[in-house]
Amino acid sequence: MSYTKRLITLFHRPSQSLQEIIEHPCFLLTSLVIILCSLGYVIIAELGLFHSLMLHFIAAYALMVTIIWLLPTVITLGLFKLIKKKFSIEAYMEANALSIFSVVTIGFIFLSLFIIYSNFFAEPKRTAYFAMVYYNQWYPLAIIGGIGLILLLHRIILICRSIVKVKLYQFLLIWLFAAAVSMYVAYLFFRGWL
Amino acid sequence: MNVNNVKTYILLPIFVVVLLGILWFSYVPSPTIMRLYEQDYPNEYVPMIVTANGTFFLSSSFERVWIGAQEVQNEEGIISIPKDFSPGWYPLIIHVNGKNITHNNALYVTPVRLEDFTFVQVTDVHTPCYNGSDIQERKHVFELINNLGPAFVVDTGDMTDYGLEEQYRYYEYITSVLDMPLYTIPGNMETYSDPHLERYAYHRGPGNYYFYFDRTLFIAGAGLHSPRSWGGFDNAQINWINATISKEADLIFFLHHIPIVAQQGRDYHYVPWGWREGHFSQIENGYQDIVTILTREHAFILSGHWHGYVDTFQYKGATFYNTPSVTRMSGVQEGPRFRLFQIQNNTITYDNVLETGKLHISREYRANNTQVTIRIQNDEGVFVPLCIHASLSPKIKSYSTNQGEIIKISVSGDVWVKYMAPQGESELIIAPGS
Repeated sequence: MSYTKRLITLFHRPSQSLQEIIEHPCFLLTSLVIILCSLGYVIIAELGLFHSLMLHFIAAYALMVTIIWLLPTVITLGLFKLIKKKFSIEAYMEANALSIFSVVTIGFIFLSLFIIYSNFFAEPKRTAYFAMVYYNQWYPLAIIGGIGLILLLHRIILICRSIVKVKLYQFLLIWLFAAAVSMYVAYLFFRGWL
Repeated sequence: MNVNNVKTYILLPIFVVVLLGILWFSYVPSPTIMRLYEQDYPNEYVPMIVTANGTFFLSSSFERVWIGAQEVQNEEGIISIPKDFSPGWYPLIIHVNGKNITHNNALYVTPVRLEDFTFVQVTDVHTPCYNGSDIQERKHVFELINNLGPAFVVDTGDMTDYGLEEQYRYYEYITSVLDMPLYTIPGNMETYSDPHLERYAYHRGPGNYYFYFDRTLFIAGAGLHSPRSWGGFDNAQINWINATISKEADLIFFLHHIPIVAQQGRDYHYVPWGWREGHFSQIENGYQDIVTILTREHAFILSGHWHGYVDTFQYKGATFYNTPSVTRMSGVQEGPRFRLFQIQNNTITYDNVLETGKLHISREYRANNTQVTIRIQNDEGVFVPLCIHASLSPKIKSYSTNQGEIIKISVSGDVWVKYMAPQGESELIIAPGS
């Protein structure tokens, strides 16, 4: 399976894609893809949300996106290794990165659609941030966010079963802990710095 | 770990370090916000408010001074306003070092009595970048404020939604309906696309200045860390505020966007470093210094930033007001809102938050503009002190009112009536009379 096919399959047949990652992990290339996607998403989102492009915010939001996927991945990796689970670190990192990022990509596509609607077709026209934060138009994105979380959960369960081979209660405890810590760190960065 | 393993994971740490580096280098802890000194006053950004027959101070180094076309005497820095000056805006022309310098709209002759006046604090207007109903809604807020007849209006920041050029232009359009002076300070939003506040300074002037209304001193001190929603003060600014706040005054207001001391922390609540001695503060640099200065002077601090809160918080003798926003806020039913203050004999007698949709003032002119009926629908739940303005026929030399008190009649037929609007519907009639 080519690398591009691995990425595309992840959206509709994640287990097939995971199998490919287990057999041929390639985290270096995945890192590059994720870095470029993060920057691309952030730049487009910033333009659509605010009508402005500032280096400080590109860096800040790219860092936020990175914290959101990298931190829980590293924490869970450490905890799974602590309970003596044997698995490929590279495969685990890549599987998590791509799984989370496939969901982020789905969210970004909907955000882009909302940005286009809000800036060009809505009456009155508003920047996406303005519409969401001041005029109660955050509901569609919250629904997409909820669907995204379910998709994410499905992908993480797949990873835990196929790569780490961990019991369900262990997976739940470890991921709950990692998600809580990561969310608080992301919150501290978002509200404590920005 | 072998070299291949290092290669596999190397990109991500480099990316994170680069991002942190960009964050560090693009951070502007103290944006260049101009401070005004004695010789800089008054100007179009910080106009002087005076009354006819009153006086104001000007640098004694100015050799000759004109208000409009009329030359006035500069008696060791004291300028007297002629008794026949009508309320309104006047240019100030000063002759110094052999040349004339004109400051348009640097002087405002107010119809209001110095010992009994109102002023409005608006905050977080968040002027958008598209014209349309959002702009008109904000313009309507300022039309209502103008109808209340405050002596002046202060805007405590976030007047634009991102500090963009078109947003400043729309803000100027929205606020053009005001007859009285408008004093502004930048908020964090103004720094988001303009971290050094150059665009702000071009449109709105300085971020640090002061002005008096009789014996009440107003100090604007923009303490910001660009481009962040946390604020702070550097040493130079603290020194300037300390020197300015020590001026003689009976009442001191400090204008600032970001809450310096508050009871709660909105969605910043769980940031541990925001909590200090039992209260919340979004000030980083210079926190202790600014709190020491403000509490020492028992100042009244006006801030915004949090949109939904209506807090007034007492701390060590200082009073911290947090005023809700003009912009609407998702999940908040009320709005747009602002705060109206009344100062009588150097005491705050009114400091209520008003909601635009709950107060309606309409005028009906009759009999060749010699009579006006003003209808007020007040559903705010409290009385509202007003200074109603009506433009009547100058042919009639004397007017009377069925309620309230006429405080000024100008030769051009403009009449100002001081009136406490009760709850519910009330009617004010101004007609010819003795």
